[in-house]
Amino acid sequence: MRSSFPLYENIAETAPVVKAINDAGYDAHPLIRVGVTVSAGEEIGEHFGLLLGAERSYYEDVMNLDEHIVEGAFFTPGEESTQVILGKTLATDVGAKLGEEVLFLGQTQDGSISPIKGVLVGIVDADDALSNRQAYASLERLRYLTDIPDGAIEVAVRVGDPARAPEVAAVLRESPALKPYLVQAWSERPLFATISDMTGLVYGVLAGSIVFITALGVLNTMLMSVLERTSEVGVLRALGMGRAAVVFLFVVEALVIGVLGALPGVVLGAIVSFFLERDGVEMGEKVSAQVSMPISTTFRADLSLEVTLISFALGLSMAALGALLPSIRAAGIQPVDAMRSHR
Amino acid sequence: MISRRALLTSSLALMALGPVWAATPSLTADQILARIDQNLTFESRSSRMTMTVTKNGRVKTYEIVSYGRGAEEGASEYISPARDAGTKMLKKGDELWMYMPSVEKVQKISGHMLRQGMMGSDLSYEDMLESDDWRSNYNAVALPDEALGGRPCWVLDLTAKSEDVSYPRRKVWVDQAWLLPVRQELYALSGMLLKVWLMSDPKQYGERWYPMKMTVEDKLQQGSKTEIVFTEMLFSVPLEEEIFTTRWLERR
Repeated sequence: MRSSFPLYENIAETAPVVKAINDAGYDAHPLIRVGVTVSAGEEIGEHFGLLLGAERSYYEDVMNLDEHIVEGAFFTPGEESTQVILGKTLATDVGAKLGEEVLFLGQTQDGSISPIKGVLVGIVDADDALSNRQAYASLERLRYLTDIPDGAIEVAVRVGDPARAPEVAAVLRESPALKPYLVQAWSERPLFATISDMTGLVYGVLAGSIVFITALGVLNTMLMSVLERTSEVGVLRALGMGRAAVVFLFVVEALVIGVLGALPGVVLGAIVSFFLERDGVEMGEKVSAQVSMPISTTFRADLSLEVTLISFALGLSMAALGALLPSIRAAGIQPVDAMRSHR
Repeated sequence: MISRRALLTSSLALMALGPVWAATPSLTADQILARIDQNLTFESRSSRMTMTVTKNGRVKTYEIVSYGRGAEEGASEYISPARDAGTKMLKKGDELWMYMPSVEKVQKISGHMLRQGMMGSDLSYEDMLESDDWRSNYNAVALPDEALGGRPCWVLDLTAKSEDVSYPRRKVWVDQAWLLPVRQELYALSGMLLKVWLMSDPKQYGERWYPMKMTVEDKLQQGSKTEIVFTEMLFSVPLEEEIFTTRWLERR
């Protein structure tokens, strides 16, 4: 259950909301999630991330954050307000080390610049990229940062079976204490759905365009190279080679060429992507000055095994397809005619 | 030969226009800007003010002590509320620094942060950096005079000479007696009205009129208003050299 973004449209007092949800038989967890600038050490950097503030029970029972700690430890009981945990990717970007003070620069609900700091006690490696780019602190610290002393931006309700969420949301909507608020199942939350869809779409279109253009080049090269050897097909056919054998020969040859070309291509691409992901390309301060929200001025690549394997497989299949079509055509014509062909 | 009636009509018309001419000395738009600049810029200034921010139904009042030296240097310290007490800001030319006492850090305000409201107010950090030297930054065209609150005003349409200013266009109502921009409409390049800035309750310091109250409304945020009231104001005061250094920011 949540009120809407932005910050000022918060749930000023979460106690009655949590009570109403508990009375309905569900666990409730007040949450505050804000965009912040994160830095470690003396200098305030330009690393942007999301900072989540929640109670210990949410991190343990809902996120299972304690099970994903890869360095350091989970929050020390009773000392949560002075400690922070970072996602693995964010910790690497910021260059934060265990025991170091991490500074977060966010905003109050009125839009005033507001900082908090905490000692880094743990680094988590969760299953999703978003969690690894987040920072985690106590709800109390986030309440101070946003200047919402008794409230939260949203209250999460834990439902055993995620598929039941819309049904539970419908029940909670009827509660008089929850009437002033927007109650939504996770699947109904438009902002996350839109952002996720848009990001996926933009990423897909960009990656798809690059792969398509490359694949077209491979296909064209193979088509031309086999077409130019139609007379060779004629000779092979005249020597008694069957149609299927000719096609098989050209396809295998194309696959070998494809592997020889794709392997160094993938290795070179991975090396460039590795450095682009690690160091990124600094676009300058003017980029972030154009928008009124925190965005990173460093653009980074996102190297993944999945995309690497797809690119490799696509290169091979385009090479095979490029050989298959003209070799089928060449194998289908009379050997004498094929031998006469100059193309 | 002029008839008696025509003579009488002309005399009455001249009598009626007389006071208008008297109150409107022949100043060009550029000269008006120069007179505004003279009023609003100073060699040194020390002041105390309250800033009341009304936003989303919440009202927050800050008490601030502020120092200024010329158009390029300014420093301020928040005295209250308790949460923000000790927060300091320093303007040096086109750079702005902020000291945050809760984390004992100095932060340079840059990039997207410049567009945020200063302490959540309708004044952005960019507004803080804006130079008061309008004559250098804008081309002025005089529009027909208007009266504002019963007081005659010149109306100027200012267009920015370069892209370095926060507002490409300003429409300004200048009180003819105080030579202060009592009302400003600040526009984006698209022509959208961004803010309305009012200056009122002027007080005379020698030959200078200075507004004791300013009200800024962000027209992009419904019901948002910031009111600044100067409770103390001293011009041409000796100021410590250290105030305009980052060392002062961290001094307790």
